[in-house]
Amino acid sequence: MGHLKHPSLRKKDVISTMPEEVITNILHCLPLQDAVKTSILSKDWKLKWTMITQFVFDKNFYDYLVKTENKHCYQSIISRLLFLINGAITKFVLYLPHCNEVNVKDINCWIVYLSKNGIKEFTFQDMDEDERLKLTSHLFSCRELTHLKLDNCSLRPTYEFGGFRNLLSLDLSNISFGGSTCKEFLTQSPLLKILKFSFTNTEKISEEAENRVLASLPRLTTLDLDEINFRNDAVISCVIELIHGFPNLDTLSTKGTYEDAVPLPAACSSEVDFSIMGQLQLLKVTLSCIKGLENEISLIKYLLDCSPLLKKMDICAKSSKEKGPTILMTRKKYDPCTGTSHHRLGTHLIYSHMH
Amino acid sequence: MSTSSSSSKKIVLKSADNETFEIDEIVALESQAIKNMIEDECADNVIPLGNIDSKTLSKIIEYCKKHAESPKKDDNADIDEKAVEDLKSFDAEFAKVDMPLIQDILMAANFLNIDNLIGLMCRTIADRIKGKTPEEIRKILNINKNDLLSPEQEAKAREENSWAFD
Repeated sequence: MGHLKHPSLRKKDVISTMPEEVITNILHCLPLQDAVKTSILSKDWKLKWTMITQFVFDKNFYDYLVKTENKHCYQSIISRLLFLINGAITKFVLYLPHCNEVNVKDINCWIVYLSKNGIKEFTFQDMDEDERLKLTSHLFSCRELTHLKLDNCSLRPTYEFGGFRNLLSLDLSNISFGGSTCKEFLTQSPLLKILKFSFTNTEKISEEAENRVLASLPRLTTLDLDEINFRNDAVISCVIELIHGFPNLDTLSTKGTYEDAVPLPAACSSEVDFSIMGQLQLLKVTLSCIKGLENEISLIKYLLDCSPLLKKMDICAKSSKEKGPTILMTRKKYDPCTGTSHHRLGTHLIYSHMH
Repeated sequence: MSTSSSSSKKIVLKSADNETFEIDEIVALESQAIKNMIEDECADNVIPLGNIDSKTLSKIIEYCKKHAESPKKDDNADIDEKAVEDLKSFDAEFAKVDMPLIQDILMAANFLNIDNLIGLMCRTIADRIKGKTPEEIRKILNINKNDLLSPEQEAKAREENSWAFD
C-alpha cells in the first residue's frame, strides 16, 4: 500500500490504480453504456470495463438504445458483450420489450454460457404477452444462483435437477412449468429467504402449497403474493396454506387483482377454511388492493388473531386504476406506555384518508 | 443501541501525521480489518494507520460512529423506518465532499475493509461521472494528458462499441 500524497501532489488518476474489485464496484454502479464508455478515457482505463461481472440489460438500457436509434442492435450488442468478457458473469438481467425481435435461440445460448460462468443473479422479463418463450433447461444447471426472477416464460425442470442449493430469493410470475410444478424450485432450496409469487396465469397453483414442500423452507422469512383473486376460494385456500406453511415467516405482503368489473355478490359465503392458520410469527403485514370482499376481511381477521408478535399491518385500498380515495389503515403494536391493559387485539388503529 | 457508556472499551487509532483518535471499540468494529486484528488479539492499544492522514481518518470515524449507533438491518421487520431514512440522509450529506477526499476515503475504507463505506464512495464516484462526456470525466478523475489514447486507438475503441457513444 502506497502512502497517500497530498491531493495537489498527485499527477495521476488515482482511481485507475485502485484494486480491481473497487473499480468493478464503481463500474457496476454505472449504466452499461457509461461503463463501456470508460474505454476511451485513457490508456489505463482502456480495458477496465471488461472486468465487469454484472450485465443489466433492463428497460432503462433498452430505452437508451431506442433513444439513440440502436434498438435493432439489442441482440447483437448483448452477444458481443458476452463474447468480449473473459471472467465470471455474476449478474444478468434481460428485459424483452413487447414485439421484440430477439431470437429465443440466442437467449438460450446466453443462458448456457451463463450457466458455465458462475451466474448468481438471473432476471428474465418478457413483456410480450402473446407467446411464452421456452427457456432452456440449462437454467437448472446454474447451481450457484442466489437470486432468480422470472416473468413470463415457459420452462421445465430436468429430471436430475437437485434444486438451487444456494438460492436466497425467488420471484416467479406468469410461468408455465410444462406439465410439472414449481415444486422443483422450492424443494431443496434450503436457504430460501424471500419468495415472491404472482398468481396470474401460473399453472397448478395448489400443488406447491403442499406442506411437505413448504416445511423444507425453514429460512423463509418474507412472502410476497401478487395478483390474488380473492373471489376464487381455491386460490385463497392456497394463500392460507402458504402463509401457514412457513414456520419463520415474519413479513407478508399481498396484493389483490385489479379486475373490478364484477359486482360484489350480495351474500357470498366463503368456502375457505381459515382456521388452519394456527400461530404465526408475523411482524409486518401489508395488504394492498383490498376491496372489502368477504375473503379479504376473513384473512385480515385471522392474521390479526394468529399473529401475537405483529407490529404493523398496512391495509391499502389503492389500485392504480381506481381514482377514488385511498384508505390506509395502520395497526401499530400495543404500546405499554399508554397503560391500557394488554389484549391481543386491543391495539389502536390509525385511519388516514389520502387523495 | 447507543454505546456512549464511559465504561466501554476504547481503541486508539493513529494517523499517518501522528494524530491520535480515541474511539469506542464498537465504532472500530465497523472496520472488518480492525475487527480481525482485535479478534486475533494482535491489536495493541494504539493501532497505527501509516497510510491514512488525519483529515481522512476523522471522516471515516464520523461515518463509523453514525453507522455503529444505528440499528442493524439484520433485525429485519423490527427496524425503524425512520432510522433507515436518517442513515440515508447522513450518507448523502457525508458524500458531499471533493473528489480528492472521496478518493482518499475510498482507499482508506478499502484498506480498513468497511464494506458500506466502500459502496457509498463507489456510488458517489459513479454518480459524478454518469452521463458526462469523456472530457468532463477526465477532468473529474484527474486524468493526465500524457495518458490519453492516440487518436487512432480512440477511434478504434469508439468503433468497437459504437452504440455506447451515440
